[in-house]
Amino acid sequence: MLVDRKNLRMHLFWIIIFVVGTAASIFYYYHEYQQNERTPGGSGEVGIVLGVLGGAIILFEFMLWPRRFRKVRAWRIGKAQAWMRAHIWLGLLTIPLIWLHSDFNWGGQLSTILAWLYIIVIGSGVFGLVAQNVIPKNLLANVPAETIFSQIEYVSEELATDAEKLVLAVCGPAPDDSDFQPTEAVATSASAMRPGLVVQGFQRPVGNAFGRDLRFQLSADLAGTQINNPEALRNMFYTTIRPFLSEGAKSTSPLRYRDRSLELFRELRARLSEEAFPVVDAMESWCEHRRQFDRQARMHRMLHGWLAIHLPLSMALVILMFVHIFVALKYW
Amino acid sequence: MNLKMTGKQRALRVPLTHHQRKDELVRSRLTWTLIATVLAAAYFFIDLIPNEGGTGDERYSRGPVAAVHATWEKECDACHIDFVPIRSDAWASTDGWLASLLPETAGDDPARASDKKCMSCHKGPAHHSNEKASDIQSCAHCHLEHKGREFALARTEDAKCIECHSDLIDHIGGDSIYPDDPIEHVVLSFASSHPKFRSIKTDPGKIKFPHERHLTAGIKLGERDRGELKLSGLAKHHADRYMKEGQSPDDAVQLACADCHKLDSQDLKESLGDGHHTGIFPLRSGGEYMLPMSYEMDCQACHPLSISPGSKDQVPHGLKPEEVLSFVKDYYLREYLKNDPALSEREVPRRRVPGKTELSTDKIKANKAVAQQVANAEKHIRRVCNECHYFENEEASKLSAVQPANIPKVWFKHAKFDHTAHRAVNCQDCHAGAANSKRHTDVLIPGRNLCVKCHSGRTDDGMQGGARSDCVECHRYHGGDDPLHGMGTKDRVGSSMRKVEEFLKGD
Repeated sequence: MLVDRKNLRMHLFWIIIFVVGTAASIFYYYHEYQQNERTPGGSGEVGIVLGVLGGAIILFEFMLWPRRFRKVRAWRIGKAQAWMRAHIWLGLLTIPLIWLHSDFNWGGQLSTILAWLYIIVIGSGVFGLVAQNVIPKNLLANVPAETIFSQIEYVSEELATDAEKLVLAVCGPAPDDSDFQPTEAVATSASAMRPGLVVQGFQRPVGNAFGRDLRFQLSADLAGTQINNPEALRNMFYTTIRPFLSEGAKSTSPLRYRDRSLELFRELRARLSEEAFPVVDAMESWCEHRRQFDRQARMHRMLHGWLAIHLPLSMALVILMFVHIFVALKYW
Repeated sequence: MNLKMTGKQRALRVPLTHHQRKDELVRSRLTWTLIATVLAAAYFFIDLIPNEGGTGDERYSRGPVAAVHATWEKECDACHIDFVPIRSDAWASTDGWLASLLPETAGDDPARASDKKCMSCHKGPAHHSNEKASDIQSCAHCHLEHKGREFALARTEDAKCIECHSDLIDHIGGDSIYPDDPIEHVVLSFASSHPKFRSIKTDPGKIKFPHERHLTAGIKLGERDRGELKLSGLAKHHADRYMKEGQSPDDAVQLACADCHKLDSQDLKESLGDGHHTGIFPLRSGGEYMLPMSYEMDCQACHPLSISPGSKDQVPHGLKPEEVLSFVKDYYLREYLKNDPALSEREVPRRRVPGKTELSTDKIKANKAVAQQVANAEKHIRRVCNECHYFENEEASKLSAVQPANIPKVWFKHAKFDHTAHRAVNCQDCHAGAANSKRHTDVLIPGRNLCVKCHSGRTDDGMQGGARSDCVECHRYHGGDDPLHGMGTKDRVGSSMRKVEEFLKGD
């Protein structure tokens, strides 16, 4: 939910609700304070009214979660964006309501737990709102190779496999005494059997058909040619490039850093003949992809990870809020 | 040949079934939501597990109870009735539809039902006999609990008092208890609108004690006054007691306030030495109030009740006139017999001799002599008594009863005062008129205007204010009419007696 100058008009109604509600609650509290020359407390008229309002809003806020379920969504009560705007501004309105209800005291164990849950829920929500306004723009500008977050590891492994096939195609089979033998998947693939042919892409179903793939033919001068010093490429691929493509930032590869990557690939080119440069360029490009995937994963976690705090603690907050109501009435 | 990957190629790498499996963030979100739900529910339901030492509901307490109630920290039921407001000012607790939903409380006003729990130990008598019933609030209205161990429950905030005292006329039921002396109906604070102290308008005392004379060196005012009293003129133990640092026995007696005004009988013991019995005086270790004056301790040194001018023999203080005369007569009879010991050994006939008077000549002579001495002594004693006392019958020439001293033991009838708390201040700073007071009817107790100099908001120059000035600094709500009653209530016995086990459980 973007809250910027462009979208301000859409938020205007709820901003007014927030400002008026905050002012009214403070005035109500202050009026009572002036009348009695003491803070009204949570069990007085003001405390209860503000507490009930705050609690009702918290319940409404919580309704955003079940609304995501298909059955509830089918009721078509308001647009999702309208719900979200109400969620944001009414959620912020609970800050003065709950704060005044608490009479600026932590209270006992239960109310202290509730207060901390509330603070964290509100804090994580505000963080989420800020993140949603900042990170997507950043993602668009800095991660052009963006893919689906859940598929990052899968796509990266694909890249690693394809890269290995390419290395095998241009370097030829590794000598028997070499430490860098192709992985089983690559060794048994059709492209490995046919020198010069590299399969790059994923065999995926389209309707009932299955087997569409993307194939790239190596250029004529490169296909079947043995580049000079193939061991340099093979060595770097298996020690540095492949681990990085597979594991990304989790690996200890220097390719995690763009500057180091440029340097390493420059050194590699210097040790290879010019025919191998397209292959090195491809490797370098795919390493850049992997770095972007890592950056995307970090941003994605920031963009959506707060929900792993916001939602569970909201659930605990609502349950304990009912306990608080029960206890407050029992020991009124 | 370009081996770099296009966006299209990148997209085609993603399997179309990728959405069927939730990603790690969604999975962790659901897992933590489940955990949070279980933990939050467990927090409530853990009460159902039987445990020792409480119901578990103490977890819901909004703070520790005061130290005096710490025994019942875990016994919520000792004070609370489930679902019944403990405070009469709780919203909708006294009237309205919400109050009608409250559980039955055996016919009691729901807003004050919990008071019974308090009053099983505390009496909490009424504030005023003519206060309106509707103004009487529940105990918890004023005595706020769960404010911490050190919180003083009796330290009620001014706002509670001002609820009525800001407009008292609306809160008095029936006639004023001071019909001849209208009370101030608007009191908002001690500094701003507290009335003058009612208790110190006049001095009801009947002891002729001019402070000025007694605070002058030698207890002598001017040349026309009687001779200067020197320390050597006092009995040794009195001289030791009144001798100040650097004085010799030839110096004049110079009394200080503390020579007569004692906070505690322990003070007397120290000043008199171990040889004197002080157990007859009440021991008030608190030191709030001055001990009452006593003739033996405070007057006798300079005002001996000599039986005749110059005599060292004294009449005991506190006797009725006829007892004084009887004592004096016995004294002179003994003296007469001392001068003629043979008289006491003469045999008195068992039976009266016919034709003779009942009294022998010696006896008549003795009676005459003793009667004359008694008459002289009576005149002398009357003069000595008159130095300090008023007689019931001032016109009579004979010794008559003296008027009661009537010096107030405690001056402030409606407030408390602690001398010990003010011990670092010179006596004269508050009792400024004492050194120049010529008449005993002068009221030397300071008024509100002096108190408020310290007991009010602090001024910028630091020369005024800062000391506490809340209502309970001086007043008690329950039984405040008599400060000597102690802890704020006339009846400190609980309404029912219980076994220790029941008491600890709060039953």
